[in-house]
Order: sequence, then C-alpha cells, then structure tokens
Amino acid sequence: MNEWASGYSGTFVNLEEDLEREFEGRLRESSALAFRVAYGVLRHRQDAEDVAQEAFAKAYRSFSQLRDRDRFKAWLVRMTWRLAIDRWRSDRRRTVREQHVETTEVPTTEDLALSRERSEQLWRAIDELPEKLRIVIVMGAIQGHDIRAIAQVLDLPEGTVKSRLYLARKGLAESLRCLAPSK
Amino acid sequence: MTEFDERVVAEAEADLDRLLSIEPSPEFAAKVRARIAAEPPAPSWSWVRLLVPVVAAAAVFIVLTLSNWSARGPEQPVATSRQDDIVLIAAKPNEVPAGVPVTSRAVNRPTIRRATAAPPREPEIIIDPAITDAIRRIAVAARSTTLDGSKGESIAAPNGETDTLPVAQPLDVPELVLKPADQTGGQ
Repeated sequence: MNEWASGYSGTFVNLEEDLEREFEGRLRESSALAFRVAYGVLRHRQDAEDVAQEAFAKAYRSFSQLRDRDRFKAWLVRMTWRLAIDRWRSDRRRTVREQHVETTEVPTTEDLALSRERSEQLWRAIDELPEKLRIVIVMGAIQGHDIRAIAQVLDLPEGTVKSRLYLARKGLAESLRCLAPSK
Repeated sequence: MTEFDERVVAEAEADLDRLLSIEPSPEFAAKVRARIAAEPPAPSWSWVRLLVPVVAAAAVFIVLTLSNWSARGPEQPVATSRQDDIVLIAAKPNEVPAGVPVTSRAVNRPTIRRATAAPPREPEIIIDPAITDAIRRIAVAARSTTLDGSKGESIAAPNGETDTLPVAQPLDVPELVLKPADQTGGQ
C-alpha cells in the first residue's frame, strides 16, 4: 500500500515537473509573439508587457487541460489579443502612446519626426479596420507575411486568411492613399 | 487595387514590420514566473471532478432515506393499534397500582413497540375466571379422589375380561298376542 501510494504521488510529482518544464519551454519560445500581439493593439511597451504576462499566467492555469499542445501558440495569441483589446477599449482615453519606431540605428531628429508621423497615420488606419481584418494584418507583420503561419496561429483556413488580408490591404490603401506622396 | 495603392500598402506593411519587430524586456519571463507564483493556487479540478459525483450520490441517498422514513412513519400506529388493545387489556390491569391514573397514551406507547417487534400471533381467547376456577377445581378433585372398587367404582375393566367383548345373546321376547277387547267392559 505504501509503495503504491509513494509511486502514485511520485507520478503526480513527475507529471507536474513535466508540465512545468514544458511550460517553461513555451514561455521562452512564445514570449516575443505574445508581447508583439499585445503591442500591435496597445502600442505601449509597458501595457503590452503587462497584458502578455497576464496571458501567460492564464495559460499556465489551464495548461494541463490543453489537449493539443501543438495549438498552444494559436491559443496564446487568441488569449493575448482578447486581453489586449479589452485593455485598449478600457484605456481609450490614454493620451500618451509609444508611436516611435524602435530601430538599432540612431535616427536624426528629422527622421524621427517623419517616422513618428508616418507611424501615427499607419496605426490610425489599422485602428479603422474591422477587428477580424486588423488581426490578420498585424499577424502578417509578426509572422513575416507567411499565409500558412498566419492561418496556423489564427486557427483559420488559408483561403480565409488570404481573402481577409486582401480586404485589409484594400482598407489600408484607402486610408493611406491621400497621405502618401504621389508620383 | 492600383499600382499606386499596392506601393502605399507595401510601404505601410514595411513600416508595420519595423514597428512590431520589438522584443520584450529581459525580465519578461521572470515577471511571468513571479506573477504565477503570486497568484493563489487554483482549485484542483481533478478533485472537484471526483467530489461532485460523490456529493451527488450522498444527496440522493439522504433524500431517498428521508422520503422512505417519512412515508412509512404515519402507517405504524394505524397498523398496530388494534392488536395492541387486545394485549394491553388482558395483561396490564393488575400491574398498575391502584390510585395511579393511567392515560391511554401511557398505555399505548409501550405496546406499540412490543407489537411492532413481536411476530404476528393468534388472538387471545378470554375465558371467564369463574369457569376457569371451576375447571381447575374439577381437575384437582379428580386427581385427589380414590375410587372404591368394592362399590363397583372402577373405570378399569376386571381382569380376564379385558379384551373380549360379551357375545350378544338373542333376546327371549315372548310373542305378543293381541286379544280382542272385552266387549262388556270388564263387567
């Protein structure tokens, strides 16, 4: 009896340890993804980190119940996106947002001003898109415009991703057309 | 989309790529771990899943037991009251001291218990004490009385004539002769 009990508890401990180890691996490989998804909505580094951390904490609580571990990224992206949208809606009156482009080069003042203006216009155009088109265009930028990768992460058929991407680009073109310098 | 639109979109997407090519802070993973550690432990669903059917089964058992008990409760006095009356009237009156008031409730309560516990039995036959006394006296007298053989008071047959029965002899009955009646009337 005691042997059985100790073996049983040992299995539990091993199971928990395995789960912890696996989650640690997922955290390492998906931290940037979750952070970028949140940043794509909030455009604020601190808020994006906070939301991504919250998403990971929620994922940890339900990690043992996730049957298909291959879909962890899709699950995490969906959760992070929803949390970020909720935060964005509740912080509509936020006035200060990070709009500058973070590059490794040291930009000049003129470049900074120009890029800030362009990025503001771009974010405004993205915000005007319907939510299902917005997530596709943001995920396209995060996943390197790979249709299959976007479809996998958003858990959508590739055809749906293509059509939504087309509509999103068309919407962006309509918004940004008048702002772009003509030939 | 026109060629101009495509160029605008391509530039916008390039800008978006750069805007989103950012990394979280180096402390990100540590902050996630700290947040997980700070959260109260979630209830173990495996135990909850086990507990729910056990509690449900216990509730069903209690409900069934209570319903059976309440359904059987009121029938008991009705089923036993008639039989108990017979027992009590025959057995108890002499045991109650004189002057102590006996209520029907006090009398009925113990008999209900006895009646429910005892197996069913035949109703008691009540005999008048006077008849009982007379029978007892007859029995005592029969046991103590000795029969006097010289006076022919014997219930046993005499020796030698025990087994044979007397042979019946034909009866010698004189023939009955009817004579005409005297016409003169005996004068």
